[in-house]
Amino acid sequence: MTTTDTHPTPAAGSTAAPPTDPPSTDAARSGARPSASATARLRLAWRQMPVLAALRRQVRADRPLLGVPVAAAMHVSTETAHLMVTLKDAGARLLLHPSNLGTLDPAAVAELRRRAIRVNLPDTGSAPLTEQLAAFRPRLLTDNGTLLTACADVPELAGDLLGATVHSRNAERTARALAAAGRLPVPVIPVADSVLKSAVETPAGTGQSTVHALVRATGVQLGGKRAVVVGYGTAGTGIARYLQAMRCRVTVVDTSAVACLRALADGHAVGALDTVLAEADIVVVATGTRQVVTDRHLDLLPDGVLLGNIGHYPDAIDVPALTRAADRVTALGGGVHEYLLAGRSVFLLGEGSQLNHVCAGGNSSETMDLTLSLHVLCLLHLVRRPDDLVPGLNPLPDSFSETVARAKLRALGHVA
Amino acid sequence: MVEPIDGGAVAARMPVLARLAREFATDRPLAGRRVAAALNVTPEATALVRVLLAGAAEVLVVSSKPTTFDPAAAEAMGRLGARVLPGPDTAKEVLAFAPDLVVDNGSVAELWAAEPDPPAVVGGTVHSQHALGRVRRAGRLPFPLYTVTESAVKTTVETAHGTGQAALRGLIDAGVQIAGKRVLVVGFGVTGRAVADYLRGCHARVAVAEVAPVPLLQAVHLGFEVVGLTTGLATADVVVTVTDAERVLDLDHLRLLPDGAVLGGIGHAATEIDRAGLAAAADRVDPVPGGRRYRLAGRHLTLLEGAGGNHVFAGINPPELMDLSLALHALCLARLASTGPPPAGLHPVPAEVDARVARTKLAVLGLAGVLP
Ligand SMILES: NC(=O)c1ccc[n+]([C@@H]2O[C@H](COP(=O)([O-])OP(=O)(O)OC[C@H]3O[C@@H](n4cnc5c(N)ncnc54)[C@H](O)[C@@H]3O)[C@@H](O)[C@H]2O)c1
Ligand SMILES: NC(=O)c1ccc[n+]([C@@H]2O[C@H](COP(=O)([O-])OP(=O)(O)OC[C@H]3O[C@@H](n4cnc5c(N)ncnc54)[C@H](O)[C@@H]3O)[C@@H](O)[C@H]2O)c1
Repeated sequence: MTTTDTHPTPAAGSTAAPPTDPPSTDAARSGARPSASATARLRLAWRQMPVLAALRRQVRADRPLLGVPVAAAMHVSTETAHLMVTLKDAGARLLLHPSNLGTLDPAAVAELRRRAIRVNLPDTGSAPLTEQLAAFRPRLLTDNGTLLTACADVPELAGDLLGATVHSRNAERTARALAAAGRLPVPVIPVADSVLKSAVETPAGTGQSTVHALVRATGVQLGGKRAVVVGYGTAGTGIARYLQAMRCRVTVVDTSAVACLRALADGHAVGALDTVLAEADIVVVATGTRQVVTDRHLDLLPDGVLLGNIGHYPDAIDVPALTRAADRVTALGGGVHEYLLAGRSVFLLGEGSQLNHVCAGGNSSETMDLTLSLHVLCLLHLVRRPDDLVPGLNPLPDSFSETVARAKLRALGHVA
Repeated sequence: MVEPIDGGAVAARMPVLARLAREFATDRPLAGRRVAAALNVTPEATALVRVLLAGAAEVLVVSSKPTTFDPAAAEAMGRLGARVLPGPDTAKEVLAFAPDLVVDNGSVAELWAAEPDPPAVVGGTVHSQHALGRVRRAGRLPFPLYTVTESAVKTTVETAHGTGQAALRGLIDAGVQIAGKRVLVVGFGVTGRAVADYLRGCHARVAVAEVAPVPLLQAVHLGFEVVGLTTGLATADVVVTVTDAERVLDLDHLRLLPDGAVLGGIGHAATEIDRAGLAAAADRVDPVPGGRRYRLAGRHLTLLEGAGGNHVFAGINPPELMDLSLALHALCLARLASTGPPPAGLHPVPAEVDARVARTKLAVLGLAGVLP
């Protein structure tokens, strides 16, 4: 364990804005060749995505996106690389804009480059995004909100678009706002609305990866620990269940009475944040809102507590306040920083950004197979059935979730 | 003076309604309103009727089913000031009553759709999945109904946990030791998932059979074994059907079960398990705790039943949970009476109503302080 006095730089408020100099981009910047084990890991991840792999075989034959320019804004991971390669095999031309340089996977970047898929990194042409889009003229988007916003500002870009798929609630909100303002007259399909995301990917994927991240980053023995889960929505419910399975004693904090009642019925304790922090060994914020753990909570955090956030906004935990209050901040490696607050140590995971991504590589490839496959089906739908779609948000057809679930069951050896 | 209520043990387990009764007595949100409520006439429903009357409504209770009609509960409702129609053939009286507000089991919607010129209704609520199906099939709905059955509180708390516990209770009442048993849960919707979860919690080895891929994939990711129906039946000690379908287990399926298997149905369809076929084919039928034992081609199968021979063996939802959905009904009606009703058709229960019931429940649990 190293002891240094470096102060961590909290990730920026917008996922589109890169945090300053995150270590994991070094390999990508230097263009270093990934190690054999990195390539093997990438191949393993792709094997674990049998639904997407089957779609890829199909589109490789049909080429349904031949010559169609597709711009994507997402985390650059082995899984999204598999999506990009699938779209490329479908005939698309691609521009991938990383959601967050802090979560960039060098092996994925190298693989994409090897396949001549353009990744918009600071070292490759630093033109502003709108200029790049103006040159690329995308017809389809797979978006976190960044691209829709950029295209909405440029009439000829918006005019080119056949439509977009969006993968997060935040992107969905962006799309809804743009459509309401009349700024985006194209159909958008929100993949996050799929029951596969709420019933499988988030509870199982984020539940497992959060528990994994806690163990991997800190070595904590979870059994018997008092864990506080703040926010008992889709993600928080899964996290609480996995913590409970690891024999933590879970207490849930939520501002919604319905969510609290659900937590109670699921066998968890419930409490108010101010009262439960003092007893906590672990605190995971899963509200998806900002400023949840703030300076007024800092005195309540007990010595040794592990603290982190899995929600979208990196300022759910007020890291600048934590930094100001700390006598010393020590980077422990693995995405963990120790903050010394008046003799108490607070261990922050992931610098306030989604800790399961920073400390454990995010949701499993096996679960992401589901939603990434839905993106493919939706993109093909946008091209093939424009007349079935209206400008603005369109419901994700239920049959797509059924199709993907059936393919997944088959791949897992269960006949549906 | 506070009216004494019958079914005291039940009423004591329904603190949210008790609290609403006090609030309604002060605020009188239903003053001058006629409420027609199609309900199972039970002690639990009496607690709802008491709230409606406390809110100053005129109340007509229409018995939903003869099998659930509890004369003592009917008498208690009458004593509180409601008129109770035991049925059948209540249509004329319901139309003549000309309700402003309704609690519907589907029969009111059917009646209003069939009538050429029915009296105007402000709106109401609809209480079970089955009732909702009736409303949808009835055709044109001339007034708004809040779908209590689909509310967050009702599905995620009451239906799931109430039926999860009720299924265990039904099995244990019948003398089944759960731990170690191979249990097949057929149907993995909201309710089947809870039933599977509760059984696993008591250390059964649970497998799931489903016809739809999405719930099946969810079962896989919750760690259940998933099997084809015929495969699962061949090795099941216990089978619980929790589907929304008819004829899920027919006689050919029942013949696959091993000797000594115990079966129970939870779905609303009386034909979910072919009881009639089993009774006809069995060469011997004996009453046993919780149901009947059939001898079929040398093998013994126990088919569980609910009270009064009801095909649902796990029908006893704890009053503590019915407290929640019945409170949703009361608050939805109060809302319809006080604010302008939404347009005709089906509507989700307003989020504030769900939140108010959840908040009240947390308060009676002494947990009001957990909310900001
Ligand atoms: N890291 C990941 O892998 C991952 C995966 C899925 C979702 N997410 C993110 O997690 C967040 C939550 O997603 P979700 O689908 O569970 O959302 P959700 O809307 O289902 O749940 C959020 C819950 O938080 C509660 N809440 C809001 N503000 C609160 C506060 N100040 N204190 C306590 N509780 C509060 C809400 O009442 C709600 O119950 C989102 O930002 C989402 O993008 C991350
Ligand atoms: N007794 C009670 O107290 C009680 C309480 C709640 C629900 N119910 C009843 O339980 C049933 C299920 O309710 P729910 O809310 O879970 O409904 P749901 O619609 O969520 O789930 C029903 C599931 O059954 C599956 N299914 C249909 N036919 C099937 C078949 N032949 N084999 C296997 N699976 C099949 C469907 O695919 C679906 O996933 C309903 O009939 C409901 O009225 C009874």
